[in-house]
Amino acid sequence: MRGFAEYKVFGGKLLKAEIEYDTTLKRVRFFGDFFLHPEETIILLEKILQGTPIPFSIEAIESKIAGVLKDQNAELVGVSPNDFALVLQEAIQNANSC
Amino acid sequence: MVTEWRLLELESNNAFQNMALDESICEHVSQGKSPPTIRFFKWNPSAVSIGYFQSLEQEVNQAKCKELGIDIVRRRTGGGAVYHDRDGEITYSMIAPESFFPKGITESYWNICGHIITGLAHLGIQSDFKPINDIIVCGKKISGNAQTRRNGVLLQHGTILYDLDVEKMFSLLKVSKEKISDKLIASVKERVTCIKDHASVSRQELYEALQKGFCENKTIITEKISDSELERAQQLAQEKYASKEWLDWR
Repeated sequence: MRGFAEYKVFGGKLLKAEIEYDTTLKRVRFFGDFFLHPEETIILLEKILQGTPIPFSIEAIESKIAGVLKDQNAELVGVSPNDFALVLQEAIQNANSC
Repeated sequence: MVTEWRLLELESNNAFQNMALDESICEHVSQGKSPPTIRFFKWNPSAVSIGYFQSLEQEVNQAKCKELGIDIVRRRTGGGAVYHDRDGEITYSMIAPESFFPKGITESYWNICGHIITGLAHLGIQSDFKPINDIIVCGKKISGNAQTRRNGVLLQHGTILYDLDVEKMFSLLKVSKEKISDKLIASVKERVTCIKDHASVSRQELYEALQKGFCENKTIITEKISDSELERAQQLAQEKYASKEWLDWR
């Protein structure tokens, strides 16, 4: 299945997610006008989420993202790991409602 | 020892060359081959730039751009899509070792945007920094800014809107409803303003005010861009910024 969601962080940036999944996340792509330093960390964030069982907990996604940020000494600006988890959850909800 | 900043005076380039020059200068500053640099530029032809993480398809009306002869380029910085009108704005870049700026990202935006705020004050325009990366006048955005830090070098570039064709801008950019959902206003068009709405000055006068804002209290040198920087920029423009692969990567 495929899903897409947009999530506007209050007072912050716009985050979008495009996913493909069955029992696990097969492919994840994030888009938006947020900042992430260094920028290439986005590839690792997307990769580490592949294989995540569906359904997932917000905390599990948050933890995976926070782990990558820490390992890479990376910094998100305008969005948070929680926002990434929420937009993924919404993408799944949107796919289910189609 | 006093830090010398190089000022590269206002010039026009196409979108690919503009972004390539920023990257080339960053590389040269990182390698200690070029001094910290303040650069001003215009876009000719007019162009749309999209942020590093943005989807071309989601953000830009490509057919309209093609119809109007407007280039599209992906930046190496995050942030949103921007329409760079040939006659409607001035863009700057500030490039220096990270150690020249506050470590915190918001603080460093504030620091650099402070030069724009000072420049606009020289024109009698009161503006404010609005975190994360905007400058506002009377509550409306007049300047958007974006930053990246790589190899020990900080690049911040941003635009200052001089004149504004709102209809044209929003015929080229696709604006998500989500984007304005927390603004409690009917239209995104009400969120932007330009210098001409606030002062009767020419674009040259805006440029001179911005230059003053960026350069005062600094030792400025008039060294030009080097052959090596230009050569690398031409390579980056051709092989990276003008390539379909780079534009389509998201």
